[in-house]
Amino acid sequence: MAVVKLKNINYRYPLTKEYALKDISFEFEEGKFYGLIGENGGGKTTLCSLIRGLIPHFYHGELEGQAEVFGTDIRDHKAEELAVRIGYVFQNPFSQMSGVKNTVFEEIAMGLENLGVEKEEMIRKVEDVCRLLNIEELMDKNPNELSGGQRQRVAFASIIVMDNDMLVIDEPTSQLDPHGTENVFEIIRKLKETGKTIILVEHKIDLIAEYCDEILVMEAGQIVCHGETEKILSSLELLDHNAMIPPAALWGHEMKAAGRPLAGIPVTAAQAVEYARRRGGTEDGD
Amino acid sequence: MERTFIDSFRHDQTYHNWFLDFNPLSKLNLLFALGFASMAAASWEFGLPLCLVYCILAFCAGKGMSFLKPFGVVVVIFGFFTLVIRQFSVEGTTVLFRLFGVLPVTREALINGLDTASYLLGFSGAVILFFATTQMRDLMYSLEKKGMSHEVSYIVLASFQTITDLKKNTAQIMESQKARGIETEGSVIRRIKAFFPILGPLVLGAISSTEEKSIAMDARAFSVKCSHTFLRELRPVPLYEKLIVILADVLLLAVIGVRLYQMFG
Amino acid sequence: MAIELKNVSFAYPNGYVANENLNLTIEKGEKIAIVGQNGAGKTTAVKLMNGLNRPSGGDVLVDGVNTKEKSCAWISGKVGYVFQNPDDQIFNSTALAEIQYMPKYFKLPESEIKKRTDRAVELTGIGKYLTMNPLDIPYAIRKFVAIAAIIATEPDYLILDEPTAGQDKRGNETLERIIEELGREGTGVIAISHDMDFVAANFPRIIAMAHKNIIADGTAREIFWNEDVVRESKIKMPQIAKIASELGLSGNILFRSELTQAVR
Repeated sequence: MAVVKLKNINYRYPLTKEYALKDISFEFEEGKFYGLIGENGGGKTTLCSLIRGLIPHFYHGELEGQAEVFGTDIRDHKAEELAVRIGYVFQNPFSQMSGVKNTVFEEIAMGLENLGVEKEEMIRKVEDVCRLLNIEELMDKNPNELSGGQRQRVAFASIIVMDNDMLVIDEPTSQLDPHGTENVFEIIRKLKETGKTIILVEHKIDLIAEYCDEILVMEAGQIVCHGETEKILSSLELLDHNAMIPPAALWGHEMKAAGRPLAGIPVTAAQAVEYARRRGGTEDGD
Repeated sequence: MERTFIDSFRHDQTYHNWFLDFNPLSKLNLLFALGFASMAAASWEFGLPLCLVYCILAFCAGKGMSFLKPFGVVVVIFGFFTLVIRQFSVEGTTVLFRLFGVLPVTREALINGLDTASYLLGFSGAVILFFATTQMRDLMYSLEKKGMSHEVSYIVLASFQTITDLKKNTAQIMESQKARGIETEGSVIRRIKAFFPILGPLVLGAISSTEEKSIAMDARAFSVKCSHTFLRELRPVPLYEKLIVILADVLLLAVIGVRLYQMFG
Repeated sequence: MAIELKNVSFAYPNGYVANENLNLTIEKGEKIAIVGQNGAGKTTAVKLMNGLNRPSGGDVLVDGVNTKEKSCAWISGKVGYVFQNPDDQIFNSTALAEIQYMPKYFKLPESEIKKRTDRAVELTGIGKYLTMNPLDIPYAIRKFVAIAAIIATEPDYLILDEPTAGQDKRGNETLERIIEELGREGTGVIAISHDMDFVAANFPRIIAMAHKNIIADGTAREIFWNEDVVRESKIKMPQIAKIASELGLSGNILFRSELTQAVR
């Protein structure tokens, strides 16, 4: 079932001449994990804003075409409710903290307070989400004194505690170090297991390759290609669209060019190792 | 440890101190009644003991220093200056002593000064004591319970964090300017000159982070219209608290009554 | 001609010690990357190099001059520092004004201002954004405006604090070009980065930091193939190295061509 249906979407922000989204048609299926990649300024964040109803409710401008979310036209949704049904985590760990709560536990509970959830249930849900994301040790800390990586984990917890139908995650790791990035992807993996529809914007292509079911590549406001992760990320064509492909895939192509093709083009390190082993030998092993 | 922390939300919040646990709105009523009473009374026999009561309450609440510091400043500024100024503006006949052997200090001016000082101190003491012994979030909670919108509550509470953030951003941008070769140290003129370039990024940064923040808060159901619940709750107002407040209000009315009687009766 | 850190320690005014006993010499024209976990003291260390931080112990010398004796503004003429967040740095209303701010501040002749602007714009590839308000420029490209503004001051050493964060393919390519070009002209480039593939490909020398200290100083091969260093500084092996390592290949492979050779 499609949760988001976009047909012939064109959009431009107020006071701009250029369209930020051009002729976008795509259906997002329920329960799938989509990776949204491509150049900066290519329309990735704008597409996220459209799906979450920020366009046209928060950002005005000019929207053409059909956009349906959960079976209802985006214009007919109540913006404030859609903003909760589709959870949102983004780049800046600092602006995602409310700034009004003294402990992480209260910070995470804030969304539930706003929804009028009864206290006992609220406590149970916050506790569960802390356990799920492995942030129990942060519960009684002040959210305004955490590191960027810790805050980003709290930001995730604060969103998913509301049990959203879908998640849009926009460059959650670009301000984090490798360790913080790993923690965040660990969270994303757990979310994927719960079967939620997820749209992830991310530049770290090796991690995209490892986690996503499908990839959409955007360039200059358009979706230039889309499909299964392996198929898309193994294609050299992506480089012409100003998108990256994983080093493993580049290497696969180099092996092919050297006349020693692997069983396929690997997109993850694990695949590369497997294909290389299947070739039978390595310099050392021969 | 973790357990007790979580369980703490299941009970009403307490500071284990009778004055800190005073409901913020009751406390507001109590202290304002006392403060207004001292303004109405405008006499040192009422005002000065009241200030002593404030000090005792502050120490009982374990907030002695955070009350005395600002209150001390007020005492020095208001108290001292009214006393001095009144010596010049009020003509008195009973000379108590002569300052430096020449300046006469009169009884009438002294009492007049004390009355005015206790009028100001009785009120400002109440305000300072209230903020020294009340957490803003508790006050906002009580007001929200009385029907104030949570938007107002959020704006008030967030403004404190915003001040901290702005300070941090200012320091950060100053550094950034320095790192570009703009002299920010040295003469006053140089510092002022260096200050202007930072206003731009400071204000613009604040605006853009406001937009981000409002999107982030909307994702936390901030704008969803429904009645809210609270994770942290304060205890219902106990009977003795209500009685104390009523007593204070009666006191205020009594003082006003006496004053009106003195004026017109 | 070098930046020298001699037994340098740094503590913040609140007493928090961020660097302990750093020893490091960066020659003019060298390209050097600093890697390590957030909180390891990387940013504090580079701020010591341009005088934003003054050592609480030891000495920092820039081309032989002790930073204690000069103002930060003076040192910045030699050691340019591009902040991690461009929004902390940019304050003019157009990208062009931003780039020309310092050359004009130093009252350089018109021709020199133009020359410097052209070069900074060409290197960073922001030509089509010059008349725009920086806030309307996408964040990742705004970072290049910040870089261009520092390049226009023509420092002898350029410090880039996490330039790769949030960059796309084109952004990374532009950064590679900037680093190579400046290196060729003899400008020293010091970059903090979490992008291990980028670091391995572009920097002949890498410093790994962990818990306030420099724990390793060497080539990419030496750093990424040293298990202890990788673990302690919580960095990641580049993907190609990881593949080689799991295949048990010898030769401390880092690059695709090497891996292609090794896998028969």
